[in-house]
Amino acid sequence: MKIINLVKERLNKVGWIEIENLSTVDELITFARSIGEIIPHPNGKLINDLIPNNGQKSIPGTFSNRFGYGQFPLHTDTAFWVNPVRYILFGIEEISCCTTHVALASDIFNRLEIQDRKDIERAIFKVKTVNKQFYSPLIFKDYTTNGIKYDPSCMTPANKFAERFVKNILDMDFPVSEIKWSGKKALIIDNWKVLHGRGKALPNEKRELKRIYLK
Amino acid sequence: MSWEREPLFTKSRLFFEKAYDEDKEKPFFGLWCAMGLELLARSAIAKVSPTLLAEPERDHQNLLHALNLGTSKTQRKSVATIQVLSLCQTLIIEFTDAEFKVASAIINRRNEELHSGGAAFEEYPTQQWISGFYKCCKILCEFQNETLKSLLGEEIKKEAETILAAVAEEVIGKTKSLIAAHKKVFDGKESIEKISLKEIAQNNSEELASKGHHRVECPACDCTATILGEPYGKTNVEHTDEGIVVRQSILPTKFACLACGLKLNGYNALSAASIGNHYNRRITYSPEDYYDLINPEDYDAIKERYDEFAPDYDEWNNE
Repeated sequence: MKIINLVKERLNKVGWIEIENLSTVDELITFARSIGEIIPHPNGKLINDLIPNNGQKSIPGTFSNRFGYGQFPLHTDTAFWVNPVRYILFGIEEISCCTTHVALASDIFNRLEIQDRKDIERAIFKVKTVNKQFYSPLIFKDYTTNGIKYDPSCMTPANKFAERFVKNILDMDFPVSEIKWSGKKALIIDNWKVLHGRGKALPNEKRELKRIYLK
Repeated sequence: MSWEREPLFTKSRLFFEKAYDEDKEKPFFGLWCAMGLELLARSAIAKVSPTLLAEPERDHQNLLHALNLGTSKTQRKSVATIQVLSLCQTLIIEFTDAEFKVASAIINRRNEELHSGGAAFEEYPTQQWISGFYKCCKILCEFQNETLKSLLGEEIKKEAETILAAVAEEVIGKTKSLIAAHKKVFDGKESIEKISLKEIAQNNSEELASKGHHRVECPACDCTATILGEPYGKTNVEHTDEGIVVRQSILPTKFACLACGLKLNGYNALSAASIGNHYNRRITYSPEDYYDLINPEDYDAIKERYDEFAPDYDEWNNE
């Protein structure tokens, strides 16, 4: 119980946390349930296996389709929901040389010019997937908590403030941490505070990253 | 199509941005504002539930869409804007008849602009509607825990607040002048006439109180006057030994004093006169009245009801 509280505290403070010695699917699920309620992906699965591929069979426009084994840009998971999922648990049993990149939204915002920092609250994007499209702010509110929602695969700027943010995030230097998958490891990220992306993958390496969404 | 609050609110922000990119005296400013206002009203209703935006129909297809359970085979249809504004009036205390009228007028211009060859907003200058428009925006924002800043941005928020403050000040000024003028006239009357007027006002207020009016002290002449208002919120119904007691919260919007003749209209004016406190209306009904029952032995009542539903029965008929 104490460990869970520490995990939650660190998540709240830092935005992500790495956990060692979690390997089996059952262990991941038990751990996930101690953090929050598991939410299925729109495809119905509680656990999704993320396996790099060349993207030829992927939905057009998705990162897999656009980048294949290449590096995936930093993004918010489930940005195509009005309120994206709060936490994501990743886990992998094997060692992989394909890393995961994480960046705190606050670190990005703090590097913006004062006016640009003010303007991010005015940034509006159009979210478009195969099934739906709607307008969304970059900074969304859920009661008392603010979150960032940004995914260049399904979000296009709808006003000048959003255009400016996209330009800034491409041009700017900001701290990005690299998570190495050293085997029997899990990573939880606060999807409302942290953008994440995938490093380059090797076509011949077996990398089966498990992903669980948490409320 | 999304009926969820946040996408609707975000889209209204986008439309207002478009509006403020236009010259304020040009018709496109009004048109974008009207469309933004419509979305803002819809987002306020979606805050209560997106299902309220679904056009009612037999198969509940629209309702299913609102619950994100609809199929792509059926087109979703949302309720008309005028109905959205009616819902705002029902659900949002501060969205009174005055705001309904302002919003309806702007929306009607939008319809005219889009459905006719006329230059609707050309004939409806911005200064005529901008203060009422800002008031509506403020009320609709606050209802969904948003602000004029989050809707319009810092700069336009300041402008809106300046206009709203000026209007409020104008209302306060006019109300105070009106009260002072009526006080002066009343104070100038003979004592005997004042006593008589006070008594008439007292009796009249007591009579009106039984018809749902609320009694208050007149801010000009101190006699007993009455207030009428608009009901809001849930109606409480209680079955007691004395009958069926119905309690309803009321937002005061009209004041009248029979003694000095002072009349005030609108919640803002009543607030400026310090008589804007919300009150509860309590009406006791007999079970017969409340449930609209008829005594089976009361043939007159039965005949009356019969005539109400079948008035044409005795009409000439060459069958």
